[in-house]
Amino acid sequence: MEKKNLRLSRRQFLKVTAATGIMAGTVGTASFIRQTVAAPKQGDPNINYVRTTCSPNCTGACGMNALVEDGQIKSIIQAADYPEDDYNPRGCLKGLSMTNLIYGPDRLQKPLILNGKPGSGDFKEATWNETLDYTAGRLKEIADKYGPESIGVLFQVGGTGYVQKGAVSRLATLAGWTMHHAYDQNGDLPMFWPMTFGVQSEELEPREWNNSRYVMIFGSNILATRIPDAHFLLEARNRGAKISVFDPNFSPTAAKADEWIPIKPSSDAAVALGLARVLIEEKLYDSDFIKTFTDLPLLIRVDNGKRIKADEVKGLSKPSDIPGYREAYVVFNGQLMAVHPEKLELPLNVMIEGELNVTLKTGEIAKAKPAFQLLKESLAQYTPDEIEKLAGIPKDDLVRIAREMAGIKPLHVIYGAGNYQWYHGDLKGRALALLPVLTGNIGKPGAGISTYAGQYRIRFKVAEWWVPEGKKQNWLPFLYVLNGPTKTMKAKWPDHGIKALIVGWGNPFDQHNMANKLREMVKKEDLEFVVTTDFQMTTTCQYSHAVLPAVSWYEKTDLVATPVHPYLQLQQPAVDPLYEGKPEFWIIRELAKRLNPDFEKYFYPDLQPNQAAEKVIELLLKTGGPEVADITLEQLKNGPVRLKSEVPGGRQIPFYEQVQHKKPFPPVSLPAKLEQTAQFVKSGRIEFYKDEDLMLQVGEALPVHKPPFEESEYALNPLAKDKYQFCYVTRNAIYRVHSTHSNNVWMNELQEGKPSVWLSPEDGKEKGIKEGDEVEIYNDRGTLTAHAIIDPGVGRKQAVFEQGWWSRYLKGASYNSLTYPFIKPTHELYFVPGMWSPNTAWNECLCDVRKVGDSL
Amino acid sequence: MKKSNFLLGLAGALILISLIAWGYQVKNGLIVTNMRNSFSWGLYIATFAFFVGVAAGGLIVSSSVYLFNIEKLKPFTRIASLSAFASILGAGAMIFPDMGRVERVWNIFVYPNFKSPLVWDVIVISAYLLITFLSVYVQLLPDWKNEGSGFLNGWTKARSQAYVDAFSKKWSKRVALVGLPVAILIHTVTALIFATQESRGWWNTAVLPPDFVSVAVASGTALVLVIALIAVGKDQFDQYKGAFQTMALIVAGSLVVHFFFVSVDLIIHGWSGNPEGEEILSLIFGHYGYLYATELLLPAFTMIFFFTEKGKSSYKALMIGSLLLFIGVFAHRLMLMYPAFNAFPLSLSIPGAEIESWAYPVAIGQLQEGAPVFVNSWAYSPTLIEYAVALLPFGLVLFVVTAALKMYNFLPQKRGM
Amino acid sequence: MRLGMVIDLDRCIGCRSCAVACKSHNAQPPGTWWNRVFTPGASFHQAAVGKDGNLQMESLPVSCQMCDNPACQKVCPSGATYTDERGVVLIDYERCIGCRYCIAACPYGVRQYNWEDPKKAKARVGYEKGYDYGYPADFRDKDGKLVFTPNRPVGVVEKCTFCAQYTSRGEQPACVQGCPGKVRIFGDLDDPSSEVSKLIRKRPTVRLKEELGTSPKVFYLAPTKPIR
Repeated sequence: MEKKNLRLSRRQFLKVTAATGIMAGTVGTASFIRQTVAAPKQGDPNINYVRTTCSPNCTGACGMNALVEDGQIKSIIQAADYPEDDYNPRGCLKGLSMTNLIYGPDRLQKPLILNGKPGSGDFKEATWNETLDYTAGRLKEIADKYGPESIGVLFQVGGTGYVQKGAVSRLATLAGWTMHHAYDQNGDLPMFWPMTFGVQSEELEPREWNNSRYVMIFGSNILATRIPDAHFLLEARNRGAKISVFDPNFSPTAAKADEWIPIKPSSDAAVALGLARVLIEEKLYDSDFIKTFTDLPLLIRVDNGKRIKADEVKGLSKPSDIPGYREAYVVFNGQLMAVHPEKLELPLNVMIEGELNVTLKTGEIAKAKPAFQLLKESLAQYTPDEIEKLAGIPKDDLVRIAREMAGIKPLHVIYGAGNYQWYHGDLKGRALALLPVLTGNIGKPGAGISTYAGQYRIRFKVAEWWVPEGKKQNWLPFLYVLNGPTKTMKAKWPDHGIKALIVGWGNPFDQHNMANKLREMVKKEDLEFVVTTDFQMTTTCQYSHAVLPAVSWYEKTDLVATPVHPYLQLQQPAVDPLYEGKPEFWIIRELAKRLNPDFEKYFYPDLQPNQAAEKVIELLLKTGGPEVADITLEQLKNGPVRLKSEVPGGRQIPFYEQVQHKKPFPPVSLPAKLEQTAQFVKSGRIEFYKDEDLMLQVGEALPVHKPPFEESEYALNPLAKDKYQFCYVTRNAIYRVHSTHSNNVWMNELQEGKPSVWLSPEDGKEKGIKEGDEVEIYNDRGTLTAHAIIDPGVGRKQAVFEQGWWSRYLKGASYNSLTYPFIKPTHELYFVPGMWSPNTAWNECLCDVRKVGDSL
Repeated sequence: MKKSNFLLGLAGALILISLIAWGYQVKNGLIVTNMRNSFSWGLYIATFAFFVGVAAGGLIVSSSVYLFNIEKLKPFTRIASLSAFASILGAGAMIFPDMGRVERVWNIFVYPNFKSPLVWDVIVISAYLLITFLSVYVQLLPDWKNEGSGFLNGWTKARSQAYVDAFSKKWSKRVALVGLPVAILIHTVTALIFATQESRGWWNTAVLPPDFVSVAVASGTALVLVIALIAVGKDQFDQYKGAFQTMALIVAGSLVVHFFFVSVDLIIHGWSGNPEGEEILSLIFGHYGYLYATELLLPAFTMIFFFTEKGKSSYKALMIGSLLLFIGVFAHRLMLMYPAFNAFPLSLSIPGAEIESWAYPVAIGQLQEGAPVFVNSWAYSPTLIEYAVALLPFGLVLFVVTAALKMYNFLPQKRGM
Repeated sequence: MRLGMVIDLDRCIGCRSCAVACKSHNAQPPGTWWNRVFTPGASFHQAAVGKDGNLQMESLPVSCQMCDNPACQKVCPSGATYTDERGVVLIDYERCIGCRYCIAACPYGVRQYNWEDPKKAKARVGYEKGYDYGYPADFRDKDGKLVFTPNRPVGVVEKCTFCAQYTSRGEQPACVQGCPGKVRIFGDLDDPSSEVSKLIRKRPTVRLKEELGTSPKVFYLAPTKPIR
């Protein structure tokens, strides 16, 4: 077909429908000077390029070249040296402007000791020795007074620095401190994962998106939060995949998708259950798949809702070779059968619908139904009419979508934090997991359900470095520090609670200051000592008693990996540490020896920090296990190296071994031992039916839809229902990684330098708020001032605030003071740090908005 | 005497203030003005255009007497030439503070880009400076010979008075012959600086050069009128009434032509209802309505006034009419800038959203706390420094005219010329 | 040789990484941006455009269009703005007199002026003493004209140079390297086998303000989605 250069009409920014529409491939062929070189030509002998890995907690882990001249990083550009060119070049506007932070006015220069009231930010400069002595002294005092477990350590997600963060873990273990896992602290742990699959979390690598033909995105704004990977989504779309975005707001991702389905806030479970109902009713599900890989054929006692164990049944017994953390249940295929939890083999004629009587060893006859039958009955209420009411999707659309997604394979469901950072996030995830599982879209290229949030994943064994001599570690979910202990918590609450905090790589006094709790704890001296290490003077530093200046990732050596792509990369110092900053490794070592002279030997005391880091890397590579087999430090110095996996080509396809090789669920989630997570899915299968007592009590044995706020905000304060009708949604902006880059001058130039709240035109009209007006967002817990952006894409009754602003841009307020540390009891059924743990629900928050100057 | 000393002092003060402000501006950069990338010409260029127009008008009056024998205006040819010279000197001076690198101005002369209307303007303005100077010079030669005063006239010592008189008459006519087209040219070329720019719809019209010329005739003649009124004084007004009335009629007549061009221009901008035209009309009648009203109403008043007996027959009326005209023309020059710069050239239509014109924001070139870096319009309002620097041409004109009138004869009192 | 650029608006996600890469490598002071990215029609970048569910959101990066018939070059009185033998429109920072006629002439709003000494503006940010960013050396073209320097003199105009300091030695401009989505393709429009030439032949392209006759050498691939 002839394609002409259309002479489009005047001044028009035009959308032209292409004649055939399939875009040519992404890879440039021989064109003028197109190169993807590992080390750019050194045209000017004075300029040195140093390749390192940018790693704030964004999951990008992008290789960047620092242009170093005269001992300064003059500029940064993508290294673009990934062996698979599809992954090149990565990078984003924040990584490219990192120099503004490294050399900026907020860079910490010297160690600081508090010189005024706690929380005042009034410091005096001190030497390293003074500050380290002071810090170690205070920590010892508090440990003596309250026990070492009263000292909490916040060191954010491990993936961004296996060496330096490992050092923190090492010392915390030796010292007996309490560690807080960043994954649930950050609210990034989608609790449906352990509940359904028995894993921490899983995701397809973005390269696999090209293999999908149907992509459903719930509550994820890929084009804003996965900037380096967004192109894979667009390429998939251009290759014929249908991209559907389910979101109350018209996001940049929705704009590029094929279909945007606006839904009511937090109604994703209803949508998923409505779709699942259609799948089951119209027999669009993969019956063989669910019989083999899920718990849906397992028999459930109708009277008490419990799964029937093989041991309980007359004539059956538990196989002898079953580990203690698994259980053998029962199915029926003409006769009752014990199900071996480690063998994913069931005859395909096993019953999934109907009911029967089961005679137990006690003589009791129990009425039983397969879980699938219960699921079907549970789904009956989610008719298209009902979903239209609950979620706002027209009923014909719902049925159409169900038929589409069932008929087009592979299906990929992307489930984002915007969706699961709610009180009932786990229900939504469990419901959404039905979609790929019922249709057999698991463990295959381009298929599955993925969450992309947080650089949490530990990709290989780290115990040799992180857990010295296998000593016991104390873990405590951070939510309890804000919420206080609950009666049902499984984690151990320190006898005196948390009395001190050691903070690194994070800014909790902005980012985790829910209900303003943290700041009050410092001011009231519930937290008697806070020490922070950072390379910038953040709000958290201001609330600390001691500040230890660290360095950015351009000034030290470390090892980086991310869940989003399977490359292992080095960080290498491009310049010497600025001012008196030191790598955290050195800080930890210095603290260690002051706390206890015996600790020093664990930290390579004879080596410089960067040399020591290289030794640690060698150790990690040697002891890390199959994922890092045959990977050497020399290889890493030449560029990124793909980690090994059991999938052909080393691809990152979750549950490949389970589905292709029938290994039982779950795969291991490092660094936990299998028995820790396998207990979540004792049947060895994907579990939609949870029969723990609490799950039955709250009616969540199967995934159901529960509306937001009923059990959280309204329970806390029934008046909230009328008083605060806006959802306070704190989404990510392209200009920040959480609170990193909040003070980046170029990022602020691009946003008019002001925090903004996005409102729909109808709400703006109702409240008399126009574009650019100064607006207050408030509830009983806190108030925030921002300027209004009227966006026709924002849904009704949403106040969308782009999170991450430091307080000094918010007139001293913490935007998280509006939020509340709700803890969902089902998250306390087990405790495995960062894997089954109470997850922070940022979006479970109500507020109201008013124009500044309006009276109440 | 006293009056002229006071005026000289005032002129000196104005020049001094503007030089100090200019010095401050050179030290800190043009950021001390309120111009920015989105609004890159302002008060300085408007003032420049104003004085070029006034300068053109002066020599058009003076030359017309010699070329078309308009007897009535004969008394004021010297003043007309003086007015032209002083004004072009002021205009030329006004250009320099607007330049970012004044010390590099020689580049225009060594590496001229002859495609650039700005280079043409440099050429014609330089020529005009010379011509107007010569025009004043040759007209003053007879008096100088007679009184034994003047400068650069040593060569006349050896000649007779009659010779010098004849020389003056002949060369006045020759200068006029060259001067008239150049006078028209300077404001045509200045207009072409704007009119050639396709990106600015407000400027890009063939009617701009002729319109500039008509405004030049009106405002230039008005300045001659004002200087002549002051030189003659109220007492001797009636003696030259004919000349004054003729000048008033020239002003009024040229304003008729100007309004004709304005109307035609507005019709062309507005008739088709296209987004660019709509935007321009909304800027001039809406956003900048007051300024545009000033530009229209004040000259309109003067035009009508000067056609009436009352308007052109008294000292006071002529003075007021002229001053109002100056204000209106100055507003007109400012209104060159606003609709041009605040109708952003890169504006797009977004068909899917029924948006016909959306201005793509421009980075202004400055980061200020609490102010955006990217804008889609700029509320340009000159800073104090800009007002101070813009006093330069006013000071220069006042100084040159006052000094000249004080030192030499510009009125044909004793010698009938 | 005529160097040009193709920008694929289908792939552009509006992340503004290209604008930031440009700003960093070309040492632009605060407030100056050679390269801009906006959502046409929106009141704020990445706000939706339209109403009543009839919404869209595209992104449009705009920097110097490298016109073959550049208005800026024609109006420059001292010839400081010129086109080199590769078709790149450049500014000689030592010859610019700062008259800003070119800013008035440019239909795209891409030219940026040094209203003050960029060093002063940068100093106000509060960087470490003695720190300067951007490609750290001057670059002169074959005739010795200064077309890149990390701190331009006060009172001169500046704009995108297709990263003269990089393209002169066979590297891509910073915006091309800095784009995570491979949205920008750079090459020789006179070479029929270059990717830019191929794309212009095979795909519908748009040029901005084409009706003005500036003959821009930046081509936009229209944001299209496959017909389903």
